Amino acid sequence: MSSTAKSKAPRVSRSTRDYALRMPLVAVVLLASIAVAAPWLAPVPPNEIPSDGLITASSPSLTHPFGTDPLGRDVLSRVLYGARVSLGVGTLSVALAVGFGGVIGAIAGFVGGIVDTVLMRVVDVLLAIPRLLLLLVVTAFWGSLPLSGLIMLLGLTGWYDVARLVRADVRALCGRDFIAAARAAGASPARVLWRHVVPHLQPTLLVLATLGLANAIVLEAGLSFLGLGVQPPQASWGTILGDGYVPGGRRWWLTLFPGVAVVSSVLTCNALADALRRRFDGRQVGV
Amino acid sequence: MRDTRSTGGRRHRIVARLLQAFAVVWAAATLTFLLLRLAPGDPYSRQLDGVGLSKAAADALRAQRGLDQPMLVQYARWLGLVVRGNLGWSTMQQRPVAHVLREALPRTLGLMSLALLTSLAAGMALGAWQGSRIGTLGDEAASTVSLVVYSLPEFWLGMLLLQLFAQELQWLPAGGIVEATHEYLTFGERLEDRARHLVLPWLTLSLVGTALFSRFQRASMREAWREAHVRTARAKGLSPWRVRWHAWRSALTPVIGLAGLTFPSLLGGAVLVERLFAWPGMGHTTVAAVSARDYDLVTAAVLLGSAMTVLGTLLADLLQRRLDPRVAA
Repeated sequence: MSSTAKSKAPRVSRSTRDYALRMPLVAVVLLASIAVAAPWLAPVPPNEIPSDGLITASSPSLTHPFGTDPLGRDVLSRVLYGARVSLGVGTLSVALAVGFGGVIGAIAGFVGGIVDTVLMRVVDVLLAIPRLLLLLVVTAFWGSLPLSGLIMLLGLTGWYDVARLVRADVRALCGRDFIAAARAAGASPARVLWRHVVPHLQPTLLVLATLGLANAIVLEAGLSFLGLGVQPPQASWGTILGDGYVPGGRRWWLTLFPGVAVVSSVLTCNALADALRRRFDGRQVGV
Repeated sequence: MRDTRSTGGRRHRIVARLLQAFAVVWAAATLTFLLLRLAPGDPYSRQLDGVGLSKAAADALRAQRGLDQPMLVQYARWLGLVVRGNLGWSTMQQRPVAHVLREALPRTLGLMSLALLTSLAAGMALGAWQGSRIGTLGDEAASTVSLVVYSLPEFWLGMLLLQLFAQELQWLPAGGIVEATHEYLTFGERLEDRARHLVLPWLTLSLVGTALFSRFQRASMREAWREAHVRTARAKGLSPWRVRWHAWRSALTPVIGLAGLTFPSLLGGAVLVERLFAWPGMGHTTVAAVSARDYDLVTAAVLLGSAMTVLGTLLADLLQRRLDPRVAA
């Protein structure tokens, strides 16, 4: 019986693996096209308050498939436009975090010595401050940040892990023979770093970016839900959740639809990260 | 075998790690202290209850609390107090920060440790079960479900549960710790009252936590299955349960590491969930303190949060070394 367990373990066929990677990739394209095509997909402008005076939350109907929010705005349109803000803020802040963390981590790992020690102690301190608390403090104290501010904030609080893991990768790579060979061949440190080390960071960076995106989307939604993130009247998935939520108010459509949008994006990211990790690990084993 | 180093060496290492931990917490608290004071406004620049203060009254209060002093003086005074175990004065609640924490902290720790223990137990059981039958239908189904649950933002899951069980079905209370009538209930009814209020926030946190730990346990179990000592155990003809036990033992280390990383969420991670369920713990208090610009209370919350983060990592590391000699190498 143990032999059956053994024979089952490695049988993850190539096709299954590709399927696991292809599905989330299709979802990424789909989500991105929804965000880009929001103006053509949305039935009405996202901030349009009905002129017939129906300024109230109404449940889904034929004219408003996702219902309306307390100001009578069409939730479907707001969710579609919200994709631009939620996914845009997430993507840009992650790009910032991965770029910044990557540079810091690469410098620390490549230069080593006192530079490495100082940078990593700074990262230790920053990692110790709970991220959500820090975000709450900054957004509440500085009040109504513009979108660019929110992106900066999420980016500047998201790079610590990237820096640590990239540093570990760089240090491991620097001990490998091909780096020593490049050095012996007379390549400058900059060339060794750029041409020989950085290309090998791709798996780590890709996985971290995907996971970071999932995190950033949830954080943006949470902050906006509290009224501290994206500011009204701009629609993001978090603000729609926040606008609709009144304790005791029975407006399930204002919770369900924007929430499903958040979950489908986060699920896509997590599934993609799983698939990427499996694929890269497989390659490492192969090499 | 386990104690290859002398106890003196180990003690030395622990002391060094503790010193380092203190330095990290001190630096994090100092950063917060500066961040708060560099931000526009202060506790008296707007009043909570909507009654504006006159400029003279606000200035008098600032002078009373020493907020008119230069930043360095304020910092020195604050540090002096903290070192002596005094976390300062909450301007929002008009009482010492320690009193606020004494009330809020146990509520958060109670809810969170219950949720963490449930998640750990359920997640490890599920993950270990999956890990010993990778690729089967049961494993694939469980993996898909836990991936979806893991992707649910906790506060959104809470909103759904709240609307379903508290508002539509009205089986459970919508928030708070106890009913207003709690004082007048008998002992048995009080217990039931507390339990009924606990169910929804506990369920929200435990479901997501279980998904997190089961994913991790499954992955580490899968790795452990390939290890030489597990193959040896199997080759010796041990029963499947004994073999599973061997694999599980070495799959434990990474899970403990994750538990250590999750430890600080006991304090701050569930800010939104506490807010949603009107659970008057640390998260709820912190959100209120942040909007009231309550300097000392916010700083204390961050201080506690970073102390827990550092402590969690340290404890996990020590436990891992104790359970798995390979870590120490």
